[in-house]
Amino acid sequence: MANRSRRPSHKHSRLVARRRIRIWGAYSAAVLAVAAIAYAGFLAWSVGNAFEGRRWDLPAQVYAAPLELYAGRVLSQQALVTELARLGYREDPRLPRPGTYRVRFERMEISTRGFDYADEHEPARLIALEFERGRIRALRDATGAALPIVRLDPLLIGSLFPSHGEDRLIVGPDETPKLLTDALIAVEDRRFEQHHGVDLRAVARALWVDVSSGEIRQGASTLTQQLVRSYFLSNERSWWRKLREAFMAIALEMRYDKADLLQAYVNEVYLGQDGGRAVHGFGLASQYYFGKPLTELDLPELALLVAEVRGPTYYDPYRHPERARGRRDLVLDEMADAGLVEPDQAKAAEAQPLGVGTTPHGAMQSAFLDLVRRQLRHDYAAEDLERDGLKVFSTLDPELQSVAEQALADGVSNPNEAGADLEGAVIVTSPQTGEVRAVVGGRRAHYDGFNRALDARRQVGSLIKPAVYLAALESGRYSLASVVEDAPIDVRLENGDTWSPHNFDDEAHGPVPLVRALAESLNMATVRVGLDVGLEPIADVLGQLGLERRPQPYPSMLLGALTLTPLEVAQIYNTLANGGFRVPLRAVRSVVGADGMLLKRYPLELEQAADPAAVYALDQALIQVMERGTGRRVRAALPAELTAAGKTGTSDDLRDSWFAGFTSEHLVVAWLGADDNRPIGLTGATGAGKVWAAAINAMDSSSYAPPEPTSLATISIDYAHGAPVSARCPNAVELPVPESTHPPRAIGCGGASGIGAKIRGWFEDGQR
Amino acid sequence: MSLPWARSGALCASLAVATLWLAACGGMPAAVPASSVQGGNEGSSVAPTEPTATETLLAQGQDAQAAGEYGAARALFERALRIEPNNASVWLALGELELDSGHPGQARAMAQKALSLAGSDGAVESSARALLSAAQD
Repeated sequence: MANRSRRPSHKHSRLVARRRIRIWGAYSAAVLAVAAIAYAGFLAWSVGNAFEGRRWDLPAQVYAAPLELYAGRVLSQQALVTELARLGYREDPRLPRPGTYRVRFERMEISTRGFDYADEHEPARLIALEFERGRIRALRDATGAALPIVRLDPLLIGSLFPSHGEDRLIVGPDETPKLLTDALIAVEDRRFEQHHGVDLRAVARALWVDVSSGEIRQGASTLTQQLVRSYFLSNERSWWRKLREAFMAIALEMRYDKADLLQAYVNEVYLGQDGGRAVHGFGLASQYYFGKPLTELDLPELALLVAEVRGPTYYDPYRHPERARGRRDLVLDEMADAGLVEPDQAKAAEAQPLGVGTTPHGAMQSAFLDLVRRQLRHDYAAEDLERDGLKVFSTLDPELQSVAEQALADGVSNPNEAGADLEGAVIVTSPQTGEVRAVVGGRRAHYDGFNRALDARRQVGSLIKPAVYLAALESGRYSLASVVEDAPIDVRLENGDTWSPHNFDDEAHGPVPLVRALAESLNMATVRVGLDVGLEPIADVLGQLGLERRPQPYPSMLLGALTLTPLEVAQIYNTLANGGFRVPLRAVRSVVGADGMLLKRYPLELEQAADPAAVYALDQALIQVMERGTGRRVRAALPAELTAAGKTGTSDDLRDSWFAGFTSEHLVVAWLGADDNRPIGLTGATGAGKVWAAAINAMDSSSYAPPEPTSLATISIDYAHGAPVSARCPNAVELPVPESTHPPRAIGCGGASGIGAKIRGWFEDGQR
Repeated sequence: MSLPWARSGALCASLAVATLWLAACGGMPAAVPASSVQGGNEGSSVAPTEPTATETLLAQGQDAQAAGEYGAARALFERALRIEPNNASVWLALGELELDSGHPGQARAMAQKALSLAGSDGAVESSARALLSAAQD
């Protein structure tokens, strides 16, 4: 003590000084005691807070659209097996539990898991399917009775985890195998049931080791202490921290019972790292390493997760499989020692491989999850999404997502000027419902970086032309058969400059029918049509089709000198693919609360955005793009019987390669380009078009063939110059035109009867 | 109004929709408009007496609608739509639901959509027109 050293010279003053010291000492002791109690109280309070808080800190879980099974569905047996593997179903001829299936020739039986959907409960049950030529022929229950429709459980695709990066999938006691908690106790904390938060025997043992080795090494932490450490994320190794932890562990044990603490531990412990996402808890770890729920893990799988508790980086089963395996086998031995499993069971499990596959089941589809987050942001605060344990049912189709990712991966490996820096994006939608089925935001599909599908604003080039021609058709002054002049044109701009657009091939094609001008993407003809129709009506059409930002009505807009994101392009083309009916694109169907109650539904919203007859005609021209125009090479990659509509887009100097096109069920938009906007040496057809065709080819898609509106009549004209000809003529193209224009009858291949013909060009062309 | 069939215009269109798909259940798949166009559900080897997935969902949805459970009905109709997005009957059913649940604008859009898929199918066309006029006022 410091006051001992004081040497007062006088007796009286010494007494006073002593008393003062005593008072001061007592006073400071009291202050210290109060402070200690307050600090202890604070520690107890904060650990209790952390414990309570974590119970509710659940990031929203996002599910893919479930697979619907019904007789007649186009789905091959192989495709179903792939889907089941994705869901973590396992082939087992005995069908011992939900989550297993067996295959016998053209027949499959599945023990489904069941799932609580927002609208109804899908029970776990045994179903049998028969296949025939790539379709489900019959679907029955265990008694052999026909089932009209069965939904599988949905694939968990990820969660909207908070920015600090901790992700977890909370499991309840009924979803936690007893073998897991028993193993945790056996391996990590044998006296868990007896101690009060701190295991004094273990501490004594550890102290001995530490003292004799002169440093802090031996871990003697109980599960409760580990839980506390995890809450406060400290890796500092000091006696002070250990004391604080021990105190907090005791405080927790006084307030909560062992079962609660054990469950909290199961959901809290750090078990893996997926890029910026920390995998916490056994529920998520089970999905991350094995792609299936915790309840379905077998003995070696459970043992591996218990092994990861000691350090998911050091025992990373992908990077250090031999270490992970050694630790897992040690866990299995300890489980056998504790009598949890028979020794021969443990030996058999040790003979099993790790079973984690080649890559973890990470937060895939991060580009899609981005879109989910943005859609939900309108209705939910970020904290609600990150803490409230919401279940989000999305529109993602895992199969289409993987198809789109593969198509882009193959597409960017094309030889091109940008070399290895070629980037891209793909969006797939269901046109009639506006559901977004897949989003690929870059060549590294699972990398959470720049999401080009949503955020890259790029020049669209000729992708804009359908809006020009739709405005022309809607004006009533043009039909697909109208002949327009593809000849040089000088446009006087507001600033006094003159703009003289050229064609891609630098040639002028003279009088051509509208259908050819669009199919071959003729710039000079398009500018003439666009200026005649007017820039404002064209900007209006883009707005009707779903573009939310109104473009500047400059003449250069007619050739696509405006920048759009792939998502904006998808919205515009979705309206064209849906016959002129606009549906806002959606990534979320519904949101369910932690209690299972439906919180929000995002219903289909439909609006007739354009004249259906005009859109029908435009779509027929987009089919001609594929049959005869700039999409010819893209179309050649599709099956002969598949009718598709589409449009190429290429920006100046080949900086952007676009393709947007649709079949009856799918709209696919693909973009390729370099992030620094360098030329890539690819046109819409040679770059994005290939990606598009590869994607469509890998989907079950059928022809785009809507019924023709009754207000239209079919005529045939010469494709090159527009003269009415018989449908049998070599270069004839059949087109829908408004009945009201009294389309002319054609005789032979050389000319027209001319009666009723409204368009002068036809006569001129007939004389060529 | 709580009863969905209490409105005369809606009643007319409802009956038309019901007739359409009941006819399909009775072994006349040709009466289900547009389903054959798109191949979502045209299981030719399925016995005609067994209702298809779309028919089942439509029937369940209409039951839910009759019970006033509009949310559940919507979910069922949208499921049917995902299976057969070009089936005019499903669009008509959704339009009916929109009308009953107080969204005449949506009902009109759905009727227009059904109309655009009708082609030469007179039954679908008249149902769609009935729904359209019921949703006008």
